[in-house]
This record gives sequence, structure tokens and C-alpha cells, in this order.
Amino acid sequence: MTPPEPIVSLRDLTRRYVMGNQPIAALDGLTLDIPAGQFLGIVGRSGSGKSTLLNLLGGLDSPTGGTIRVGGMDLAGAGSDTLAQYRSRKVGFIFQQFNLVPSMTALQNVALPLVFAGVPHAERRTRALELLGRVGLAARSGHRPAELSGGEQQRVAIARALVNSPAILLADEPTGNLDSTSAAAIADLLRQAHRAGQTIILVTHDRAMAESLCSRTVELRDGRLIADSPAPGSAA
Amino acid sequence: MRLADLFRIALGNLLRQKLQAVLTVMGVLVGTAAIVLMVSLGVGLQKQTIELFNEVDFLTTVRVLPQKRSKSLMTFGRPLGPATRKLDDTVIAEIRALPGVLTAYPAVNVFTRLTIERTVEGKKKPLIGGSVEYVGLPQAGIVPLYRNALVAGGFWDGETPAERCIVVPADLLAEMNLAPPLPGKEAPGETPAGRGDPRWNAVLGMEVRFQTEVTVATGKEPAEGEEEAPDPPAASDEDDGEMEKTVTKKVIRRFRIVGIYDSTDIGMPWAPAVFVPLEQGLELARMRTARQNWVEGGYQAIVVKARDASQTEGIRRALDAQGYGTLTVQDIVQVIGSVFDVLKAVLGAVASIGLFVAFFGIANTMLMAILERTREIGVMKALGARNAHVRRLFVVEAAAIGVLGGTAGVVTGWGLGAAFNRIARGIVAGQGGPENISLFSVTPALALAAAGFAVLVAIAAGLYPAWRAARLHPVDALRSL
Repeated sequence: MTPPEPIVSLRDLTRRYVMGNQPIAALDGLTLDIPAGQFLGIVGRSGSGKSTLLNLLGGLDSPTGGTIRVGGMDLAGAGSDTLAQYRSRKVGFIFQQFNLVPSMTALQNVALPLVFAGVPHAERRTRALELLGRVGLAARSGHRPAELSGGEQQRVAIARALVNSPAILLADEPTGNLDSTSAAAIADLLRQAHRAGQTIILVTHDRAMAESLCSRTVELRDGRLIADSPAPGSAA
Repeated sequence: MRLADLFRIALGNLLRQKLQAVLTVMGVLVGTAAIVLMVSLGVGLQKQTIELFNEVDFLTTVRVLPQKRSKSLMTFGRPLGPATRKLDDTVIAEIRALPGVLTAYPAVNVFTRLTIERTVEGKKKPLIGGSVEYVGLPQAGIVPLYRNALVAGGFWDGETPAERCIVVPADLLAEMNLAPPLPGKEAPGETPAGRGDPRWNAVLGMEVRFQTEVTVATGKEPAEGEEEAPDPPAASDEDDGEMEKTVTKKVIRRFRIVGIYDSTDIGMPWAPAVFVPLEQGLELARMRTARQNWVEGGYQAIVVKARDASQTEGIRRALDAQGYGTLTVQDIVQVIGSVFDVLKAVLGAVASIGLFVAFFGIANTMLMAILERTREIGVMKALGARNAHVRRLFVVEAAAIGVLGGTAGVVTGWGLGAAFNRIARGIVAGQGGPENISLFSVTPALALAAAGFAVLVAIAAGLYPAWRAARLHPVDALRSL
């Protein structure tokens, strides 16, 4: 029995910047497969390349070398519209700063990805309310971000990230700005999503958190993979 | 992204910084209101002017000339080439036979001041009044319009009455203090005189003096009935010894006032008509225009009266096709229209400075909005917004500023114009002028054009900021504060 095709497939992935006159390889020939349904933790220090990897996975940035395939789409060399379409259909983002739109209500924030996908209003509303229910904030749907606590804002953000049923959920230090109680609630929600079959890629500098949450943890340093545990092929 | 969502989000964004939005909209409002006010002044003045020509007497008249005339703005009425058609009685008979023609007769166009002679202590004393146009009329030219306008006396009988007769405008007589004013034109304390008021009768029978200078060859006897002026003859032509000697003589003709009419709806307000029998008028015209170059033996022009205004254009086309030059009030209205078009364009251009300034206000507001919302733009892109979505959001937001400011500006300009009209009416009516004048006139086309222009300016101002917003790199945008 052949293993199913991984949902994320990176081959020799490279991203170089020029800072001043100095070329910097933020990612340097990274090869990695992520099977569907995996909860992958990416750890590393500042400057290890983990944010760059997240941006590439999210279609926010393009590699300077190698290939990157997510959910059957080839992202290397894709144009800005293709990448926007990719972000709209395949990716959900969770940011450390929550990044809700302050002028919109919780419901409008959750529905926003569907606006860009051209989903009709009624369907958006139903779907957004359902997701808000899943994160336990159905009663706060009419509140604006300023009227919500940090933990609540991040829960709205999770609902927003899941609203378009993404192939991969990208979380960038999702608990970095939260107290321990709120952080635990967020971790619970991520676990729930994972149990429901969601592929999640979590970027954090907190190795303990990654190891407690994730089924697999990889470590980056200077743009290269230096650790992968448990090793690919072992039970997830 | 759906259109409704685009508008909803863009408007929501605009209303986030309410004071900023209001101030930017105010800029557009002021600019648009200025355009509406200035151009509506041009439109109003144009309407007021053209109104002067909107009279049955004008609308039913075609002036036939011996050659085509220029109808362009700068050279209006100037002959195009030499006279090719001789306008004589045969032509008049032909024109009278055209369908829709009420009558046709030779034109007499003599402009001068009305001089009335009164006999004071056995001596004739001239009293000089306002400008008039001597109009020669055959019996057929005395149209019902003229008869209905009579307030005293009547027109002469027959084509060639035994003595010189004249019908004069009542307003001029009132100005010269010879007669009471017409109803509605009296000063406080005056008693106006309506039709048939016996006070008019004092004027009937007075004489109008027409005086001009004619140049005659020496030795040639002055024509019968000519009077030598009391002054010695003026300088003769001495340019060239070879030339035949000529002498300039003063010639006087006296007309008895047989009728008085109300000129309100007839002729140019600044030079109302005085009516004389055709032959007597032609004599004056010949004396005045002896040196002018016209087809020998022909008339200078023929006046054609249509049965009603709707037939005027048809008659004109028929005459044009026959090679005559024609002028109608439409030509004058058109050339006046083109003058006012220039005026409106200049007024509009000056007023557009306001919107030009507003352009920078909008651009500035939108660029500030991008700075404030850079991170949000990044978030929207992360959530699947395409560059075009971001660009449209900002363009629509800028356009909304234009729509709000443009609409409010049109309403403001219209309101100010209405207020000024009210003030102007008070002043004009207080001086006995016409009621209901509209100096400022906002037409639907002007309102739409001004508002549309405001929206265009706003969109133009939003294009660069929108392009900047759209090309923000999502990673950089997300990283900003």
C-alpha cells in the first residue's frame, strides 16, 4: 500500500534575500513532506527561517529556488492572483497579533475570507455563525475586536481561519500574546481541529508547547532542517 | 468579491475616520458648489438673454439678404462674398407665394434716437429721447400682433398715405415725460394709463423729426422736399482734385404721430421699433445707406413674416436652397449661445480650481488611510484578497468621497443660487424691472455634470493611493504596526 500523497511537499526550498549588499539565505534547500491531517510544529530561534517558511506555505511570499506544492497546487513561480486564490481556498492564518479588522464585528471578521471568495451573504452568515459557535463565541458575534479580550479575539481569529475549510491551517505563535488560561483554551481549540482531521502547521519558539501539542516537530536553524521527531514514517 | 460587499466595506472604511472623511468631503463640496454656482450664473444669464428673443415677432421673421452671411461667433452677419442676388419686387412676389409665408416686404433698418418736436410759444423745440429702430411696414406687414399692441390711435391707411405718419412706443414717451406710464411701470404716486386713456391723445399729432446727412454731387439739386439745414454745409470731399465735388447736406423729415403702442413684446428692448409706412421708411434707409455696396436697384434686405413660428425654419430652408442669405432669430440665439458657452467654460474652469485643490485633499486622505491600514491590507491579502480587490476598495472609497461631496456640492450651489436669485429679484423688482428673473439657473445637465466631475476627480485622486495599496507586499504589510 503506497502512502497517500503528502498535502505539503517541499523540495530543496530556498528563499534568499539581499540585505544591503549581503545575500542572506533565510531558507536554504529545505526538503519536507507533511501528510494530510498532521499537526506539525516548526521550532527554531529568531532568524532560523521559520517565519519565512510559514510565509511561503501561506502563499504570502515566493521562493527563490526549489518547489513547493500544497494541496496539489504548485506555488513556486505562481502569480499574485494565483497566490491570492490559493490563500482564499487552501490556507487559514492565525497570527500572534490576532489581526482582526477593528471596524468589523466578530461575525464580519469571520466571514471576511468568504467575501473575497465571492460567497453570497446568507451563506457567509450561516457559515460564520457556525464557526463562532464552534469556538464558543456565538453570543459575541455582534461585538467588535475592541470589546473582546485577547483570548476571545484569538478564538474569533481561529474561527476566521477555519471558515473557508482550508487544506492547511497556519498558526504563528498563536498564544504568544495571551495569558496561560487563554493560551490553554486556544491550544484546546487547535487540538479539536486536529482531531477533526485538520492539517495544522504551528510555528513557535516554544519547544515545550510544540511537543505537547504536535504529532511531529521539526527544528530549523539557519534555514536548514536540523531535527525531525518523530522521524517521518513513524506513527503520527 | 461581490459588488455589494465592495461598496459596503469601502463605505465602512470611509466612515472609520469620520472627521477626516467629513473634511475631505467638504473640500469636494466647496469645489462642486463653486462650479455649480459659477456655471449656473452663465446658464442663467444666457437664458435671460435668449429670453429677450423669445417673442412671436422675432420667431416668425426671416431676414433675406442678397448673399450668404457668416453665422460664426467672431464674424456673425458679415457677408460671405459679393451680393449675388438682387432683392427686388419680383423676388418679394415670389417669396410671398412660398408656403407658410404671411407677407414679405423690403427691410428698413435705420437706428437713431427718437426726436419729438413740440411747439413752445410758436417755436419748434426738439426733445431727444431713447434709441429706436425705424421699421417700414406695408399694409400687409401690419400684423395682428402690432394692432393688438396699440394703446392709442392707429396705423395709417393705404400703402402711400398723403403725409408722413409714425407709430411710436409708449415707454419712450413716458421716459420723455410726454405721456403717463403703462400699467405696471409706474413710479410710486404715478397714475398709469391703460389702453384708450385720454391722456395719450395729447401726444397724437405731435411730430417726430428724423435728421440725417446726405452727400450729394455739387450742382445737383436736392431732391424735392429736402430742407437746407440752418447750419452751413459741412466739409466737402477734397481728397482728390480729379474727383467730382460733393457736398454733405443735412436732411430733415417730419412724421406725425398717429399711433402709440406697447413695445413690451415687440422688438429689441434697447431699441424699440417706430413704425412708418414702407415707402417713407425706404426713403430714410436709402439716405442712410447710399454709400453701401448693394446690388443696383435692389433692396438691402427683405423681411419675411411666417404665418406662425413653426413655419419659420421651413421658409428659411427654402430660401437658403435658392441661394439667398437668411438670418433668423435662431441664428442670433445660436451665436449668443456660443458666446455663453465660452463664458460658461471660463467660469467653470475658474471654479474647477476648487476641485483641483480637493483632488490633493482626497489623495492625501487616501494615502494616510493606507498608512493607517497597512497591516489590515496585509491581513486582507492573507485572507485571500486579490490585488484588484484591494485596489477597488480604495478607488470606491475615493469615489464615495466624490459622490458625497459632489451631491452635497450640487445641493449647496443650487441653494446659494436660489438665495442669490431671491435677493436679485428683490432688487430688480424694486427698480421696476421684470419679475422672476433667474440669474443663477441650475439645469439637470449641469447638476449631473458637476456631480459627475466631482466623482471623476475623486476617482482620479484615489487611483495612485489605490495602486500603492494594491501592490503592498503582504509579508511587509503584515509586519507593519
